[in-house]
Amino acid sequence: MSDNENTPFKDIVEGHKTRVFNTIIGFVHNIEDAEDVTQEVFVEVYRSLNSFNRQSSLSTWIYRIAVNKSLDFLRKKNRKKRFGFIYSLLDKDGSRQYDQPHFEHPGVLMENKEKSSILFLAIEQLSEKQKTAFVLFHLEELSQKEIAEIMNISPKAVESLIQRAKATLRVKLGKLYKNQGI
Amino acid sequence: MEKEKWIEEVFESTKGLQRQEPSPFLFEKVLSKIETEKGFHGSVLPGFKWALGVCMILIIAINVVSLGRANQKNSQEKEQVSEFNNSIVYNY
Repeated sequence: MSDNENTPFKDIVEGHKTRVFNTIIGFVHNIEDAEDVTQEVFVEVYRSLNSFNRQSSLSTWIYRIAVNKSLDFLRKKNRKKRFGFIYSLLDKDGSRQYDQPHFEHPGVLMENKEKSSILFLAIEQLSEKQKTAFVLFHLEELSQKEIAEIMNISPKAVESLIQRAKATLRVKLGKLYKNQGI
Repeated sequence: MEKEKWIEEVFESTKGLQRQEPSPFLFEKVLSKIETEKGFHGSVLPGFKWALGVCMILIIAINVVSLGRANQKNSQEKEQVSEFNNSIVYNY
């Protein structure tokens, strides 16, 4: 590929890479994994650019790819975790650890590190739709209208998903509060 | 009420999140992945598909020929056995 041939694609990557990368961090909770998924997103953008039908804006379309790739990554990771659990049952001392440690977002203020890692842990337990709506609204600070376009649902449905996600998180956090004796 | 306060603090803990930057070589890495994919689909895969197709045809052809020969052999053996039986009956 020549440099001239790549210029529009390079502009797309440069113009969207930070938002895409941060959105993916909100889902996968690991910086190295987020780097890999970000690369996959732009490979997919390059591959599908010709079939982009311009019914939505380019950034909405790229966001949609980023969300789908993140959810695909989490599905694969959960499958591996299940196999890991079966494997640990067969393992003699059963001491293998397949869960990664709590995620500490590098962009969180020092005094909020512990609480934010608890929030990320609780977010992992949400359903895919609730997680998507919550991450895009709470972490990416997108409007409900933008989220609706990305998720291809109505703004009302987005509002309901965010409310349900918050309610689920309150229950999960309440249990953590009790268990940890905070 | 302590609990509710704590939950609110957890929700608020990601406010003012500092944006992270991906690798400065992201574009180059993406290009390299695209090139690798192109190479894989463009040269290795079609060749592999052709070779696989030829192998499948060969295997099917060998099977058909072997089956045909086996059937022929079977009918020849049957003929020989019936000729032999006839000769025994005749001699008897």
